Amino acid sequence: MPDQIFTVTELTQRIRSVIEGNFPVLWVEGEISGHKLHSSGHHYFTLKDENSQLSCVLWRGRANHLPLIPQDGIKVLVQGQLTVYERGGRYQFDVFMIQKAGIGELALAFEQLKKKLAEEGLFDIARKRPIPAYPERIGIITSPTGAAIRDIITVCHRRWPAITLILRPAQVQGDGAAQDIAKGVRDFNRYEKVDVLIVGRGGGSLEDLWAFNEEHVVRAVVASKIPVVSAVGHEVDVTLCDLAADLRAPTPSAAAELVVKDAGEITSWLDQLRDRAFTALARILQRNHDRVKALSDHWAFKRPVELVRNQSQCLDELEQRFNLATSRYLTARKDRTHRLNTTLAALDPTGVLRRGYSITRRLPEGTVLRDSKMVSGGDQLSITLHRGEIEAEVQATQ
Amino acid sequence: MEEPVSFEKAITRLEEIVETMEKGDIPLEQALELYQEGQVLLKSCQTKLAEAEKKLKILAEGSSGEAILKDLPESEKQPEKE
Repeated sequence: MPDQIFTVTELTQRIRSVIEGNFPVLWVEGEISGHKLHSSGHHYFTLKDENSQLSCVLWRGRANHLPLIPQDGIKVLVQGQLTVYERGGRYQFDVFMIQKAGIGELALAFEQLKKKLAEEGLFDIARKRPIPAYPERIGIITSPTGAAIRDIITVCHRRWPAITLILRPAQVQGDGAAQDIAKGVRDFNRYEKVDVLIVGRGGGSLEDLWAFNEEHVVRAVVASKIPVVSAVGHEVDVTLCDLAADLRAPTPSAAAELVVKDAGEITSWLDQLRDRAFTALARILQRNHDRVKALSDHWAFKRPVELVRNQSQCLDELEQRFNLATSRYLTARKDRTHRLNTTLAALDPTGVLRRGYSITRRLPEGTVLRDSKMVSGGDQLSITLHRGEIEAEVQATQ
Repeated sequence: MEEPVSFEKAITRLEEIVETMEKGDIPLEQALELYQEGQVLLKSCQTKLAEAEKKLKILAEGSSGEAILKDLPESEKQPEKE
C-alpha cells in the first residue's frame, strides 16, 4: 500500500502552492486565440506561440481598465500571475494587463517622455512660431535617398519653381538617427538663411519612426529659432517631434503643400492687388479732380463780373425801393396836410361868416356874445361880418 | 551690401499699400507715392515668381565646422538646369 494517498483536492492544492510560489507576477508574449467574452463580463482566451499555449482569464473588473480589448489574432504582451483553477484541474494565467506586443516598452517610454516634456511646457500651443506665408528658402532635414525628399522637391517645384531648397542629409532611423536629426536642426540655425524647416521622413513602422520620438529631436526642434514643420510618415500616431513642431503635416508631401504657396495662386493674388491699387488710385484722383472742379465752379471764382453786376443790380433795386419809399412817404404826408387844411378851413370862423353868420362882441373888452343875457340896454357892441364890421348899441334884450 | 527685400516683406507691404489706398483718406501726393512704391514691389514679386530655375543645395559642414552650402553631387543633379 502506498505511504500516502492524496485526495484530488489535496493534490491540486499542493500543485497550486508550488506553482504560485515559484512564479511571481510576470510578462508573457503570445498571440490571442479562442477569445470568449462571457456574459459575466470575464474574458477567456488562449495565448499561444508556434509550439505551446497558455489558458488565460481576464476578470471583468480588470478588463474595464485596460487600454486594449482582447481579440483573436493579435500579438500581445500580457502581465499577470500563473495560478491553478482547482475545479478544472488546470493551470491558467490570471491577466492583470495587456499591451500590444513589440510596442509595449516603446509605448511606455513614449508616454513617460511625452508626459515629462509636456510638463516642461515644450508642447504648449503658446510657444509655437508662425510659419512664414511666403518662404523662399526652405531647409529640409531628411534622408537624401528616401521618398520624402523626392516628394518634397516635386511638390515645391511644381508649386513655386523659384523656391530654393536646402537639404541637410540626415539618418532618419537606427542608432544615432535622433542625434543626427537634432544636429541637422542646429546646423540650420547656425546657417540661419532659411525661412522654414521641414523635418521628417516617409511612412514606416513605429520602430522606424522612433527617432522622431526621442528627446534630442524634441529639444532641438523646440530650441530652433527657425519655424519647424514636422512631417513624419503616414502613421495615425503622433510623434513627439510633431507635438514639438510649429506645424504638423501628415506626410512630407503635405508639408511641402502647407509651406509652399502655389505660384499660380500668388500670381492671381498679385493681379488682384494691382487692380485694387489702380482702382483706388483712380478713385483718389477722381475725388481730387472733383474737389478742384467744385471749387473752380464756385460763382465767386468762375464769374467775378457777374458778382459786380449782381451787386450793381442790387444797388439799383435798393435805389428804386428807396425812391419808392420816399415818394410814398411824401405822398402820405401831402395827403395828410391836405386833409388837415380842409379840416382847418372848416373850423375857420371866416368861412362861417361867409355863409351869413356874424360874430358879436361886447365893447369895450370884446367878449364874444353867446347869450342875450350877457348884455343890457345901452351896451356898445361890435358886429363882425364876412366883410366889414358894424358898431351898434343894445336897444333891448329878450 | 543691402539684402534684397524678401518676397514675404514685399507682398505684405504691397497688401498694406493697397489697403491704405482703398481707405482713400490720404492726400493725392501720398497716394501717388504709394502707387509708385506698389508698382516697384509688384514688379519685384512678379519677377521672383517668374524665375524658373530650380535650386537645390546641400547644407554641409565647412572645414572649421561652420555650416556651408554645397551644390548637389553631379550624379544627383536634376537633368533640367540653366
